[in-house]
Amino acid sequence: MEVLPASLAERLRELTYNERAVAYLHVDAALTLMGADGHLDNYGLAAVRLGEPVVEQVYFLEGLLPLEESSYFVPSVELDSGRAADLHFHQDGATVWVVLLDVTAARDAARQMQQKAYEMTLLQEKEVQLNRRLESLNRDLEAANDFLVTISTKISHYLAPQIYKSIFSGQKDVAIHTERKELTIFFSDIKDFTATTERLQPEEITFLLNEYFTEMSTIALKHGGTVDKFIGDALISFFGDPETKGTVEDARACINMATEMQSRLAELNVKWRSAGKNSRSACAWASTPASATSATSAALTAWTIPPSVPRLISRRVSSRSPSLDI
Amino acid sequence: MFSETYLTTVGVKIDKKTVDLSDRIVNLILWDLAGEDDINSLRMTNLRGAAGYVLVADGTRPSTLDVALSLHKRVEADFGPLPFVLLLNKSDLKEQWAISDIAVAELQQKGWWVQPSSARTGEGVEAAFKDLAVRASS
Repeated sequence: MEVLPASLAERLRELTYNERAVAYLHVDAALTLMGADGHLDNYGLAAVRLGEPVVEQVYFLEGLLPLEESSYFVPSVELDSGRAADLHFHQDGATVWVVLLDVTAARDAARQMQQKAYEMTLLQEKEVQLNRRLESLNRDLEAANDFLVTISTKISHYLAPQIYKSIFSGQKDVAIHTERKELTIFFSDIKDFTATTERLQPEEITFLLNEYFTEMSTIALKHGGTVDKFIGDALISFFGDPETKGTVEDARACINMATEMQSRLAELNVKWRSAGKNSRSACAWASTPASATSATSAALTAWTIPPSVPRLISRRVSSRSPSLDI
Repeated sequence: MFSETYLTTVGVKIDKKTVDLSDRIVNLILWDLAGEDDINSLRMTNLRGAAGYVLVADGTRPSTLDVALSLHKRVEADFGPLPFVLLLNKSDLKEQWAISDIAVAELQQKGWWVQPSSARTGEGVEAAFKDLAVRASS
């Protein structure tokens, strides 16, 4: 067994004894402490009494003795003294040797590494949690965005597409301001509409107006007109805001639009007559360049056309035959 | 583990605890074992001869409950059914709590004794040892 030179073996024994603070307890079969020596004070065991039960004095041996096998090892046991010891149990006949070897330095190093690993784990878990929170916030944002899209889509039905586009694309600010602009105003109404409505049911009137305004608006948009409002059977639209091709071109576009509206209305009249809904529907239009003011408030943006302009247009409309001139 | 200044357990820390059950006194020798994580695994032989055990999970970290469940399975496989309790620690950090009531209810339905606990306030710890002492000494 002894393969080391005697002096080296002795040196190693000394090193182990001093550096590892070797201490031992010798316990008999009745679990009485027969002997104890070495660096007992290192483990807080300096006061152990020989001849007395060992478990009452060294409580951490409770449950470990008597030994179930010839040797047993419990690594890194932290003792009341704060030191950590490897416990080696060695059966020797009817008695047991308990050898304590100090491993405090190794325990501290392991603990330091363990703490770092633990902090690392916590950081990783924190990162995962933060990512989850971020994803959740993103989902909320998307939901809020979807909601805004839904709302703005709903609002779009109440705004002229050009105005909707210019506001929601950010081109136009909905700020309180006044602006003067040269517009081509277009005004139309249905000839003898009041008399017509007296002969129709409310549902029929709604149907007629819906179809009429839908068709006319589509044509207005096609020619670049901004549908301003519907008043009863009247439709007011204008050219020149928010998009303009210049006053002359805007007026020309308005005339082209009016012509197409006229054609389309003729077709609609045929359809309505055959359905027996309205045999006298007819419209006339007029347009005129006019200066208009955009009166804007936080709640509403609208062009205010000077009253003289609609009156002028209206007179022109009245003086025309149904479905006729511009 | 239930100290104010938390230090990772390395190896084993052995403590003695006396529990007064009114009709009898039970002396517990507590082996606080290093838990299991990426660099440390539980030394199963440390549980040899144990009369019961306490599993401790961190209520703010569901992954630690998974580890506790796996430890329970392994202890049961090696040593058979021993009395045990499950402590869900950090009960004082309610706003960070991450283990669902449903998960706890499911364990309780299986007959598990589950107790919220706090190393900071000491909540639940005494009750757990008392319960364990009753079952381990009956």
